[in-house]
Amino acid sequence: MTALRSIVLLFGLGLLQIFLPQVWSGLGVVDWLLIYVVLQSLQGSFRRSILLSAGAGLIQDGLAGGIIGLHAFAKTAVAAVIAMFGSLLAVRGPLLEALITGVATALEGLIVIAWQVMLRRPVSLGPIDLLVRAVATGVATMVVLYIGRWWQQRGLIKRHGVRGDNA
Amino acid sequence: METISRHASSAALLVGLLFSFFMMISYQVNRGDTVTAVKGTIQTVVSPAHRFISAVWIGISSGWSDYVGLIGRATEADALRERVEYLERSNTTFEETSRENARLKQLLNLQSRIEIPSIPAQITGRDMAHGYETFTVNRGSLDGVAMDSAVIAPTGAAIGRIIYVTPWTSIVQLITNPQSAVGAKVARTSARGVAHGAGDGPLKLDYVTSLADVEVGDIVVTSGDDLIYPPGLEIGRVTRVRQGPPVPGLPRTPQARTETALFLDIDVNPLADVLRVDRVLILAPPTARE
Repeated sequence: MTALRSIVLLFGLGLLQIFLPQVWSGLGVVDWLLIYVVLQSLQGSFRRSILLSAGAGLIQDGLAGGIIGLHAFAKTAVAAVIAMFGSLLAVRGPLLEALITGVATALEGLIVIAWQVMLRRPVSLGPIDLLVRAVATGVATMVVLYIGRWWQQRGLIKRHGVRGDNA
Repeated sequence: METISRHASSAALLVGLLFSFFMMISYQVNRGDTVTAVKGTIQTVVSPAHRFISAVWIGISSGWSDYVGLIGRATEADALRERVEYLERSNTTFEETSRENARLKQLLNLQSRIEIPSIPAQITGRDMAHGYETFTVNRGSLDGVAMDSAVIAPTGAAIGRIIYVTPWTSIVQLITNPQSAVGAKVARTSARGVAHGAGDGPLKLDYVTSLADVEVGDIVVTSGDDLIYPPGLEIGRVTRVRQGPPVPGLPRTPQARTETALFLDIDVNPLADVLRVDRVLILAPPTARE
């Protein structure tokens, strides 16, 4: 059930990733799939993280129309690094998690660029693009985490009937 | 012992996945084929949702613009814009028709141009990291779209061709894609070549003989030689012309280069802004045109 939920979520995020730039091109710099992959890698098991990231990368490649396996390779490698990092150190707090997501975005971009150079294809991202994507994805992660936390607290308050005015 | 075994199996899984992706990438690069079974499956699974979301978005955005801009004005503006796009396209076709007509009259071999039916489509998805390679449109096989149909901008300029069709959506390979090749000619002199994408904005016009008359500012149009794009669609404008590489084995002196170059090295700036266009026309596939 968890696997099915993850797959549906990945497809949803993949759609979001290619659809949002149509609404506003500025939204195209946020890697929504990577946000999910990194947050899961920081919390979940190593095996689950790399399987999830491989799936996310394949979905992105399938939807984007480029070379199949390019983002899958990059995302799997990044997820492996993040999962190892997450198992060694306790990473807590939206700011730190957002920072790691930003670094992961830059790392993924570098891997994609390395592939493009090796394949003698034109490099799709410059240094400024990389920086913008890393910052935007990091900020988006922070926003997602704060909204998630607020939503969670709201749910808890509703469930337990805790109110400030003791009504 | 169990922990070591678990770590080893995880490491093996990671290495296996990375190796699989490595092989997958190598296979596609060697074959020059980007549409695989994986991509087809993913596209087919998500295309209904994709089309639904884009339809909802188009509905919301057009509803909002109707509300803000008053319903009558928006409808009128849409009609006028469509008319302008149609006239621009007709004008482009007319100019090329005139040029071709003049040439054909000289040969006493008149030939009428065929009108090609087209399907209007909205671009519903593109990955900004690969903006110059592909995009997705909201028309699929159920709307009559077929493989290798040419895709043009409302102005009449060539944009790309259909490389994958699902029932509800299709993927367009842009002319700026490094794997794209379009039969092209210089409109002024009919010098023929092949327009290649480079993965970024400009195109390369290859295989134009060094004896051909090509100047900066010349318009490049489709030649129809590839049997995908109908002849006469605008592709771009020549921005630079240089002598190509000399015959292999000769001394690389400037004089040898000029005297023995087989082809010209031509840069072309596409007339359609592939990153900004949001609506396109899908022409009937080559088989349906015959």
